[in-house]
Amino acid sequence: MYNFDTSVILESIPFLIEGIKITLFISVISSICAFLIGLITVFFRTMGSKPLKFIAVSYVEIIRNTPLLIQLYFIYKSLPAIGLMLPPIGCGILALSLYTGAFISEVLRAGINSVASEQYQASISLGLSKFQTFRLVIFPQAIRIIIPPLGSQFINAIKNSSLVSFISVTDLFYRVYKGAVDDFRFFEFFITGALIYMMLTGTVALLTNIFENQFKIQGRSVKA
Amino acid sequence: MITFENVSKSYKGLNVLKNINVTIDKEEIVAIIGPSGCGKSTFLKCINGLVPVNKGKIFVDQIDVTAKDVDLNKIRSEVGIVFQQFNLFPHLTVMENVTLAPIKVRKIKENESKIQALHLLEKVGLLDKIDKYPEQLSGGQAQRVAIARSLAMQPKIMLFDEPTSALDPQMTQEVLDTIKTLAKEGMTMVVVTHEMNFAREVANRIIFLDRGQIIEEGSADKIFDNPQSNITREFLKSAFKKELV
Repeated sequence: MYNFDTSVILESIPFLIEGIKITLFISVISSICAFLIGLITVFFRTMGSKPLKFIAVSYVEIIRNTPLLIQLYFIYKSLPAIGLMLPPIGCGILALSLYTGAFISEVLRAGINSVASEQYQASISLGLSKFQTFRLVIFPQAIRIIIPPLGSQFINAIKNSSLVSFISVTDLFYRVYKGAVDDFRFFEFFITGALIYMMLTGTVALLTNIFENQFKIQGRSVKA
Repeated sequence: MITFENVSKSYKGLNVLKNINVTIDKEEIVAIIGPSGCGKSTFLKCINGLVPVNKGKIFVDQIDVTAKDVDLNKIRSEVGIVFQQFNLFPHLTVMENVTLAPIKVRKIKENESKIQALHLLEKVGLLDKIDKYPEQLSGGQAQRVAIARSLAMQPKIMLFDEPTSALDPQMTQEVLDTIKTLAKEGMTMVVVTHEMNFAREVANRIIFLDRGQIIEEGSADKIFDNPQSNITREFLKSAFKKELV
């Protein structure tokens, strides 16, 4: 029978907490950047001129269809070659932002397409510009549909952030792995690691639900 | 006020508008009638550039809306349009629907635009609905809000694209009454409609469209009592039969 030793975990708590901070830092910054990237690219794609559309589509398709780990190493190893020196954590944030941004762009696009084109027509007919139409009419309606899948993307960002340990960032996964190897206590550390990740992602899921309720369109529940 | 010069439009090889030439004067009220798919809505949506034309020119208030460098936002802020399906913004209250464009496009102060909105909503008889959301309104109410929303931009021209087609008879009446009030105030209007009696009562001129062409145009009396073309006669016969039922 395996002897589950909690003491090794207890001793490592401060060590792991440092990792949680780094993981959270990377995930939160990347999620925010990814959301902005998603917003910009989806605006280019749905309302931009042809060249802008082309840039947006190329970005989404290249990023979406290649492994995050390759992108991560590519940024980590190739940026210095063109004279751009970023610390590993910066490379991690950049890669994760670009990666998550492509998926968020698709999520946003689905939401925007779900808003009837008549809304667009009505808005520009009032003299609102394309950008105003996007910001004041289309996006506020789309966001309500987007919130759940958007939450999933933020959850993915937290989990995917574990890959930055490959480029020597001492995040939560790195520390879980190190603890496991050093103490030879794989079972304890990996279970604890999984639970901590679940706590982080679970918080996002909870927040998603709260936001979803908050953004409900009044009157819609009455009739629909 | 509005001039079509040799305007043609085709969608995927289908000619929706064929060489349309027409002039609509200031304060004129023009009703566009014709069978479904005759190009009525396309005609209307060309005026504010919602539908780009393939050939010809359209002038609105002396500005060529088909020109490449035209500022369509500006033209659209001068030309109100009311759609068949109302197209209110569901995430905004009635008040916000009406004040959005004046605040964001005309840059009017929020307070001023609210006062103006109250006047307009009183005019369309919906003062008690200002804090409601569109989905809490009946179709007739929603359409009247849509009219108020357009009027809030103080347009020089109002376009109506089958404003009552999605409404039952009672609601149709309340919307038509609102449009009639506007007509009395001297608004330049182009109305695409299936309501023949309404067209007859309100319009200075009727344009009968069929398969993308103007078959006949003239005063209501001329078109309804003495149509020159067989196509017009056939259309009116079936249209009035429907209205009697």
